[in-house]
Amino acid sequence: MTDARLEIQRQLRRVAMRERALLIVGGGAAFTAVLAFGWVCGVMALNLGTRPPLGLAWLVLATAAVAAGWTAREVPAAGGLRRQALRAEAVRPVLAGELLTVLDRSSRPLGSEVLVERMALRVAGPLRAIPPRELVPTRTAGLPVLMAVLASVLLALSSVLPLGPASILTAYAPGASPPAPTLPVGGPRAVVGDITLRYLYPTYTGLSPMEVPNSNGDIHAPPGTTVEIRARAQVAWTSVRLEAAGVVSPAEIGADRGLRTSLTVAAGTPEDAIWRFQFDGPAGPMVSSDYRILVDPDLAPQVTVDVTAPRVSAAVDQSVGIPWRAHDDYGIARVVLEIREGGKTWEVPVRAPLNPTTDLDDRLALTPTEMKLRSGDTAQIRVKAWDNDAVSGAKAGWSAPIQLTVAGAGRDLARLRSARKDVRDALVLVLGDFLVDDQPAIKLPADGPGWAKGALARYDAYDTLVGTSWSGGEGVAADRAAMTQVDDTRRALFGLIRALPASDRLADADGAAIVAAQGAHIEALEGAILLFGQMIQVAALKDIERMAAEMAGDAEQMNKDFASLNAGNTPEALTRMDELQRMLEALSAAAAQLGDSSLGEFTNDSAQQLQGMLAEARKALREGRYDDAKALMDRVAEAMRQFADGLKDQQKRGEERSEALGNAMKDLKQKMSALQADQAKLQERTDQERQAHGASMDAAMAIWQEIEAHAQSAQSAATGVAAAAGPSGGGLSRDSRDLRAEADGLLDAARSKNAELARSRAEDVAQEANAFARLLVFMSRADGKAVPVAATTVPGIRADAEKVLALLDKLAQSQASPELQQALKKLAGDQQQLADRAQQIAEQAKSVAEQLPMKAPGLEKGTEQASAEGQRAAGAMRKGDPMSAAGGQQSAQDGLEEAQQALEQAEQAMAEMSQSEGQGEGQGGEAGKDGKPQNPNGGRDPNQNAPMMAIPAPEEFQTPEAYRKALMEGMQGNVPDQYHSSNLRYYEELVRQ
Amino acid sequence: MASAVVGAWLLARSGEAHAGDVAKGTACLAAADLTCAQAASQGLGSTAREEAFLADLAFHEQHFDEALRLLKAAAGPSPEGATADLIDLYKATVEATAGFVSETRGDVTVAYLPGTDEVLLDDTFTTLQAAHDRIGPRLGGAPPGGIRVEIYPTAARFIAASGIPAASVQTTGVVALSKWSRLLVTSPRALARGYAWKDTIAHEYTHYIVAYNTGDKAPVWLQEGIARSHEVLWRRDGFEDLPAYQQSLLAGALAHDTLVPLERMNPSMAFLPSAEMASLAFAQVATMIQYLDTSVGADAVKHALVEVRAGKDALAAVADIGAGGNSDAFLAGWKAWLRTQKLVARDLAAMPTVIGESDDLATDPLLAGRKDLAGFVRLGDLLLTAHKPQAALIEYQKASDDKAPASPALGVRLARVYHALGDDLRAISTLQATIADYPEYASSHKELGDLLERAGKRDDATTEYLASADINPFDPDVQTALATLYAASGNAAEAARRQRYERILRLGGSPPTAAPEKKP
Repeated sequence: MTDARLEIQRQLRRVAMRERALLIVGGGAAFTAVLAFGWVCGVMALNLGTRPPLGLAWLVLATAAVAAGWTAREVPAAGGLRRQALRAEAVRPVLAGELLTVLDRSSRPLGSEVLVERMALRVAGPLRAIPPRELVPTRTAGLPVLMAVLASVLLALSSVLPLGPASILTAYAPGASPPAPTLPVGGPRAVVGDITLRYLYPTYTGLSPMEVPNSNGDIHAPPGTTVEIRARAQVAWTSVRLEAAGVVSPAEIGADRGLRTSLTVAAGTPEDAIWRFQFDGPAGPMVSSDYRILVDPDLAPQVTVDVTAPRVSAAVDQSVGIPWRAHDDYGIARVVLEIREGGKTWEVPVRAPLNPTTDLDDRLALTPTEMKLRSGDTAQIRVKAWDNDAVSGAKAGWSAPIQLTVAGAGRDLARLRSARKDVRDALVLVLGDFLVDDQPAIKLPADGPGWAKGALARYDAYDTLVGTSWSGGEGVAADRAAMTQVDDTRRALFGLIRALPASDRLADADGAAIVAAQGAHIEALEGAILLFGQMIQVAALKDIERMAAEMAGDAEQMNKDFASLNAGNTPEALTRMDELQRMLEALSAAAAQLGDSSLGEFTNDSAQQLQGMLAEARKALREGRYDDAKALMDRVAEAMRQFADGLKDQQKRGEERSEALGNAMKDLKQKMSALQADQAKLQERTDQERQAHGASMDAAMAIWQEIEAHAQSAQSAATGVAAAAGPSGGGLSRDSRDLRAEADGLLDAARSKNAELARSRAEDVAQEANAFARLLVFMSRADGKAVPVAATTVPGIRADAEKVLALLDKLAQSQASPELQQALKKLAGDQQQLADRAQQIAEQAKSVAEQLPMKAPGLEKGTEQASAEGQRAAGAMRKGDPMSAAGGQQSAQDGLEEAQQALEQAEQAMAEMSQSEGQGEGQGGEAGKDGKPQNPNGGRDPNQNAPMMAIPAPEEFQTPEAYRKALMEGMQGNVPDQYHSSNLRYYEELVRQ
Repeated sequence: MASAVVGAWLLARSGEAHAGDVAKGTACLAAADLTCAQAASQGLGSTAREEAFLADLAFHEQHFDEALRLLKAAAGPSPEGATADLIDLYKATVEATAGFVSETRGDVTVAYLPGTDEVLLDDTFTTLQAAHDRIGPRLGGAPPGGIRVEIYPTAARFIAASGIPAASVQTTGVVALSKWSRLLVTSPRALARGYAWKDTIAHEYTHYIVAYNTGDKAPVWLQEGIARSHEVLWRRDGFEDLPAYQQSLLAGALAHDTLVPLERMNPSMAFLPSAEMASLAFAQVATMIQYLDTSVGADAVKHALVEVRAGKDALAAVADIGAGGNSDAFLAGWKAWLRTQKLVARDLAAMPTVIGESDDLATDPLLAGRKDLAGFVRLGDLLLTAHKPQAALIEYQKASDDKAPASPALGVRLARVYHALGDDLRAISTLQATIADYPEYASSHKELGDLLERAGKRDDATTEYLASADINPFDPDVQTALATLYAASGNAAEAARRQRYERILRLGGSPPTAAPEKKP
């Protein structure tokens, strides 16, 4: 399409748009005009005391819509370009015929394009010269707009009337009466007295009707309340109306001038709302005094939760046990738990009381699983309570949010505890049998297999448990370490028995080895049993503390719930007592885990005493001695509180002990670390002195290096011999082990440059090697079963030992220079101080080790080594022996390193144990405000072996009020006298169900 | 202390009406003469200082609410210093005695919390009446105006009412007190294993008698010497040997000449550097009084107290009576006399004072500090429970340390093992040995009672059960056993009493219809 033709189309389109806009404006203006006019009419009618029917209002609206539609009816057609072309041709005759032709040919090419183009060029100019307003004048929308403006002005003017434009909205609000024009209020008021207000509250509030005689007229009521008004006028008026919150409604006046009317307090009643009478009489209209309408708003429920921290955690199967409390002015209809996690929010029902109550409190018994949460989730939870407002609609109130972190299953921990107890009990039986074994267990080597068979059977129960309940990956490091120790010493003992050489007598050495192995195994069993026992006790104590705290809380609550006992609440009281009874039984079961301790006895005695008291209370209740029952229940509550307090004290002391141990460990760790650093510094100074003054010591150093090389060679060879001899080599095996032990000792002594010890060890190695060589010769002669590798290696071991002895002789002749000796003597004092510190640390380590729940042999051994080697180093320095001094210093540091590692392992194990036993307990287990549960989150702790007893919510066993009423009516029904008693009993039973 | 504070305050405000009566009354209270103070109080109450004195008197009379009200009124709206402290003490006492009821029989009034402590009532009355009748005359006469006792159900309440620091109760074992003309006693159920509470009550009452007869001028060593030696005289005619532990301490100190000088015992035994030294000090002064009484006669102590009241130095007064005025001769004579006594020379340890419930080994003088040995005991317990008595015996034997003091908890367990192994004779002898060393360990008596009862030795069994109940009367099993034994022996009254105790213990107090009413 050419530019000329495009230009023509654009021009025509502009004109079309203008026409459309003006038509739409006109339509809107027509709508406004009709509506405003109708509104003005309505306002005037209201001011004349008449509310036009609602239908008329709708008619006005409809008329306005029709007027708008009519005015704007040509909007669709206005978009056509031909319409505008025709309009242009009409205005400019020069365009006649040509503009339309160009337009038509542009859309439907026909004939000569050249001619059309020339025609387009001809009409484009004149068309451009025509302004759009000439084609579509503004007056197109003029009339409707003028009408709208006029009507709006009228509407604005109507606001000066007593009832302004807004009164229309009030008049047509649902339930509203037609507003009345305000009568003159500046003048005298009609006298009204003897006002009596009778309040009829909404059913949902549960409030009984209330009559207020001689009222000052002010109304105080919640929304939805109907207030019946009675009063007396001073004069006999001809008619009366009630004006309330600007709305007029009928009222009655009697012959005795008595006034009677009523009003209903609406939810949206403004704060300054008033009510009054409007009177008509011969002297004209008059109003009474103003009386206030004060709306008591029904607020949303208030919800609180009793947690000490806004963050809690629970295992997936653990009840979070958070106490909550909800209060509402008139009643709680239902309570839910709102959960928000991962951007989603959902609710889980918590309580729905049968009969809405103003106060409701309970504990959240939901587990994360029941909340549809999974392990690892972190959710925000809020307790949400809905009120029962049937007038304004139910409103919700929320508690403060709590962040809930979901941990793994508590069931696993309960299973672990159970398995731990089973394993402990099995080990006790094993220990019992080993303890009464002879020492050594057998008299002859030939007895070995028989004894071993019987002794191995002792483990049947244990092995079965370990294979089933204890599936290997469970427990904490301390558990596993203890069991590994048991298994290792067991293997060693039975390996030794199996390896005994066939002989008609048990060699003394073999007997001693068996006794030692028995002792080691018994010690391992004892250690495992004590460790398990301690963990079981800790868990049991936690269970007891938790149960006691809960029972104290429940008993206290029960006492509150049953301020008085009577026949009506006996069934419920008995049910609650049953629950307490079951909790006490669970408590006794947990107490059994504490063993024969004062605490266990105390718990048991307390549980028995409480059960006795409960039994007595139940008896009194059944016999109708309600005062006695109540007195006993008071006593139960007090006794439970005292019991819980006693345990709390115990727990506090335990925590203090743990804290003291933790501090002692920390202190010990710091001291060991500091000593190790100081020892390293002193060793560095010793080395510096040696380097400064000890050129002659280079030779000594070289000798020590040579000694260490020979010791290493001997040790490697001895290890090979022992491996070749194997466990079943009888005497050969035993001797090879001895040889290896001596070679190990020699290497240690060489590394610590302990000349004295190295000499002793080298002599022993040489001696053992000689003995072993003789044994080899003997065995090869006897049965040719000598170990080939031993035959070639043992002489080498002996040679290494002899070489070490020779080098030690050579070393003894080499002395440090006088300067070096002098320097070492000066440093000896410092070394002695370090050795003394090491001695103190060793004593402290012993004390700490005694308090640890698991053995930490490295701790004592390491610190003792540090003390002894430090002492040796000091002695060597006083003698001017730099090599021994350096060796002692290094060995002391090694000992401290070992001790620190052992302490760290113990710390780690304790932390694991604490975490294991305290899971779900440490997250805010402080006292609640009422001194109630010291358990996780202030609520129930799920990590228990003992079952958790849940006190049922009242609605779970209460008879619904409606049902109860029906039954009561049934009880009162007419029956023959002879059946009256039976009838009563029958219905009483039903009520109790 | 309270009297001193109030007295000082009164002196500072002297010059008002009845000043003489107030000062006299205050002096009476300071001298433990309640009757005198009551007489002086007649007509007082019109001024603040008179109210303060009346408050002090009410506090002595066990009328704590009234005492607090009067003192607050006298002190005005913003009390400070010692007066504020005194108000705090009164408040603490009011709280500590909340819920108490009181009962009077004869000269004795006992305030207590209704509940299981009701089992203490009969014996408290009996003990104090006997002490009043038997100990009072030996020391110059019991104070007039009766005896007021409070039995506190928990250590916490006792601590609050006594004003003693909590740590002192644990470290020095103070569980009772004679103060403000009253006896403040902790219920034996507040301690892990009970204690010899009846002798303790008599001990505290003896302090009251001594204070009264000396105008409260006796120094600590004399007070404690008389109280410790006389505390048993309510139930027997002559003095009793010291506990074996104290004998062993005394024997060691005599041998090594490490006796505690008398002057070191002031101002209180509790301030001695160790519990062991405090025990030794008690043993010394108790035997000094025994020596005085034995060497001179039953009136010797009474005469010494008269001299002390007159203002004479206590040692000089004792020496006057016991050694013609020569203190050194008296002390030398005492040591010589001690050497003639057959003191236990074994190495024994003190029973630790453990407040509240705890692991039973924590109450053992040996095992409480030896976790290594305690572990063997636990293993033995498990083995015994698993019906492996022979193995249990081995573990228990491992828990013995020849170089360490004996352990009563271990003794009881060994006896159980011997019984399980059928060797009741050995079980009995083991328990008897344990009791000889640690007579205040209730479990030993109970265990021995069980064995003797099974052996048909009912009288001996009754004696042991009674000894157990005297230390820990809250064991319903012991009360049941006693009821059975008394019933079998035809002592229906005593059987009924024990049955009543057993029921009180089972129900946490008297049956509701028979329960004492709370005082308004």
